[in-house]
Parts: sequence; C-alpha cells; structure tokens
Amino acid sequence: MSQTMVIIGAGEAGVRAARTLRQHSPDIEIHLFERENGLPYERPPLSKSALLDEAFTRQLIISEEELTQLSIHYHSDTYVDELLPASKQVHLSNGQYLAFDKLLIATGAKARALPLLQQKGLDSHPLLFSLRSAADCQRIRAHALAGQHVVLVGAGFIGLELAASLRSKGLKVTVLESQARILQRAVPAPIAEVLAQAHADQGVDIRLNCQIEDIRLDHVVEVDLVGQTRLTADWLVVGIGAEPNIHLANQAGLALENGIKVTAAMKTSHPDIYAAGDVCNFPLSRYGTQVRLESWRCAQEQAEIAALNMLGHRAQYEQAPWFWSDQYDLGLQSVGLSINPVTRLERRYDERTRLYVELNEQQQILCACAIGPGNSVAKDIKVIERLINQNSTVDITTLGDVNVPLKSLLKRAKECA
Amino acid sequence: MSNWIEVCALDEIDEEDVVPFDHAGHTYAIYRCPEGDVFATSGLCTHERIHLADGLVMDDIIECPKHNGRFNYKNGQAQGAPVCEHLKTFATKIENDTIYIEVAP
Repeated sequence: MSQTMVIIGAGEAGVRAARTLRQHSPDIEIHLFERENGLPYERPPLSKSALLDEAFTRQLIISEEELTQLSIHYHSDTYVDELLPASKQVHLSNGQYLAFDKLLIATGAKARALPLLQQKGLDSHPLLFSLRSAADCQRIRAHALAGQHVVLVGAGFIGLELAASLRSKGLKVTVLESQARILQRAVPAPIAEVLAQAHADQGVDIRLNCQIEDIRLDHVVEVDLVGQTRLTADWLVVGIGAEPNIHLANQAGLALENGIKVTAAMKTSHPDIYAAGDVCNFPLSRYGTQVRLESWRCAQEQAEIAALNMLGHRAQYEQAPWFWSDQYDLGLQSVGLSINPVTRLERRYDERTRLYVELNEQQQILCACAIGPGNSVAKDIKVIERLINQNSTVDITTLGDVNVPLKSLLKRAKECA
Repeated sequence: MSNWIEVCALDEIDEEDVVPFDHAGHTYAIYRCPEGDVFATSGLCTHERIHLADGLVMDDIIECPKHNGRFNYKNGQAQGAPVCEHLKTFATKIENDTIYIEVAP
C-alpha cells in the first residue's frame, strides 16, 4: 500500500516539501493543508512590490496545473485542528480524520502582538495593522493613501521594508524603535548605517531609544512617548517580530524550545513527525548552536531535507543561512551566523556599497552582511557563502582589499583543498 | 536571415564571469566560461525577472543574484527549484577580438 504524507502549511516550506516528495517518489499520497484561502503564494513581495504595484497580485509558489500534474492533494481553507501522534492521525477543520505515515509541520510564524495593545483589548482595532499574509497586505494597501501619517513600531526588516514602501507611496512615516539603532540584532552597524541614511534621505522619521508610554486608538492614533511630544497618526503598524505557530505541536506533546525542536534531519521528538521553516528550532553544527530563523531560503532547504528523510533518506541540514532585504534602491544580503567572532573587517567599495565580514580564530568566515544598490553585492555574498560552506581558511588581507576580487579567495581555497 | 550584433571587446569580460548587454529593448547576459569561450543567454532570470549579470558564474553555472536559481549558461537548462523554466540561448562568435551575438532579426 502506498504511504500517505501529510504537510501542514503551504508556505515556502510546505510547497517545497510536497515537490521534493513527489520528485523522489511517484507513488506516495501527498496531502497539503493550508488554513488560508487560495493557492500557495510568496510572502517576501508583501512588504515590497505587492504594496507598490498598481494592482495587487499574489505571486504563486505553485500553480493549480502543477499541483494537479504532481498529484498533490491541496486543501486550502482547511486546517488541522488536532494532531494525534499516538494514532498518527490529523483531525481536520472539516470534521474528518486522516491517517498519515509521515507528517511535516510547516505552520510558520505569526506576527508578535504589542502587549500594551493586548492589555487594552485593542488587538483587533481597525487602525491597527501587522503584516504576515496577503490579506494583511491588502488591508494595508487599502489604507495607504498619500499624505496620511503612519506610525510603525519596530525597526526590524518588515518594519523597515514597509517604511520604504509606504514612503515611496507618499505617506508620512514615523518608525519607533526601542534599541539604540535599527536592525540591532540582525545586521552589523556599518551596514545598518547605510540603510538608516537611506531612510533619513527619503524623509522617514526613525526614533531610536524610544519608549512607548501609552497608545490610544480611536478615530486617530495617539502615541505617548517617554520624554517626547505626543505623536498623532492615521494608523499604526506593529512589526516587532514573529512567534512560531506551535499550537498543534504543543498539544501533541512534541518537544518545544523557541519553536518546535528538531534534529539536523528536521525530525521532531516524534519519529514520524518533522518540522521545517519558521516554526522549527534547528541545530547548526557548524556554529555549535540551535536557532530558529525566519528565512525564505532556509525554509525551502529545510523542507527539502525533511522530505528526503520522510522518504527514508539520511539527509542533514548544514547550509549557512542566507537572507535578503530590499529597501528603496538598496539590496541587503546576509549569510551565516555571528557566533563568537574574533576578527571583524569591512570591505568598503563606496559610501553605499559595503561588505562586513566576521571570522573565527582559525580565520574561517562565520558570516557576512553586505549592502549596495540593486543586486550589486550578490556576487560577493555568494562567494562568501561558498567559503563558509567549504570551511575555507581565508587570507584576511585579500578579504579587506577592494582591489582584489573576492572570487580569487575561492580559487585559492580550491587550490589548497 | 542571421542578425549578428556587436557586443563588446573580448577582454571586457573576465574568464568565468558575466556582463549584461542591452539591444533593441531586450536584455542579454554574455558569459565567458573558465576556458575562455563565449556564451549568451536572455538576461533575466525566468523566476522573477532579475538581471542575471549580477549573479555569480562558477564553471558552467550562473546563479541568480536573488533567489539562487541556477542555470547552465551553455545550454540554458534550469537546474531545479526555484527555477523550472529554461533560459533562451543565443549563438555567439568572436571576430577580431570582438564578441557578436546572433539575435532574431
């Protein structure tokens, strides 16, 4: 009898897993469940082109024809309301039960709520916005009228991408950040500085070290800040990070630790249940650490590993994580993790084009982050990604010398190998 | 009828590298492989229409600068997700150290 594979969540991870399962096994039954309505869509454009384009479109990850062609049973507008690990079944929102041989949880993450607004019972106020789904994006689009004033809480990636998009649409944008600089946790200071300057040049008001005392939502938004004048705005966006959707895993008694705890094989504490993407907390042996990331590419790569293992392969996730952000004409790319760096150096091509690298004691690159117009830094990051994944020892003088192409480090590494 | 268009001098492209080339409203990517031969493909990734010339050339493969779609630039073959649609390729020739590509008339 053919095996039944169940995937919960049709984001980047869920869809990639379904494709990989089919690619390696023509006979299994694949069920892909998605809580939202419609076909699986890409989320990265929601804070960028999907806001700026004249008409709203969802960029699909997979088409209806392809789902049919690959015999993937896609159930949209359907969610798993209970996971029964002992009997290996899922209970669906339509009342049915479905038995599985292997299961993948790819439920992603949800926007973190601002405790102050929760306490005041304002979490679903019409002037309050967050951004995770296409519906959220459409709601923001409908309110994003030129000349309006929007306050964004949180200078993380989603907040800053939204700030750039909304500013480009002619809105007045104020960003409130509690830390001393933007992207404090995610991006090194010399790179964040370029972005901060771009936002300042475009007229975005970024307030750092900002403490919110109170927020009132009525017909307008009023924000009281400690030691500053009260802000009045038309609407409010909260972009203070995301929390993994662990409800099902928790209920099923799977091991949790800032997300669903998985092995490098993407396996949970249950032998037939896997997790991938934003929802999972996974080990990266290269860095000797366990992390949860919100990354488009990680989600896909992890899903591929999970799918292979669901089919009995023995694959492990080992890639250095990569992500990107686009704001105005600037593209940022980052690879690796900043874990116990010993050496830090900057390669500055010009004021707006910079690469920042961190290395360990053995002169191996741990991570790099770069920014520049368009995709101008992509080549450098790709070279570094390879150097990290090959565990190459690099020559620091070459790395810091903008006149020597970075690619020469790869060639040298190849010769030494 | 063949339609050969001058691109640039041969030494304007490093070995194992790529440059963009625009002609008559179309954008192309022109490559030199590690052995020095010249190849040409359409210039935009089939996934999200990103300029491939910002990507990295390694051996016979161009990797899109954005989402890491990989193509063999010698035959245009997409190497798997996120890219499934192949790249169009164009004939090239070198005359007097100058690169030409053949485009539709």
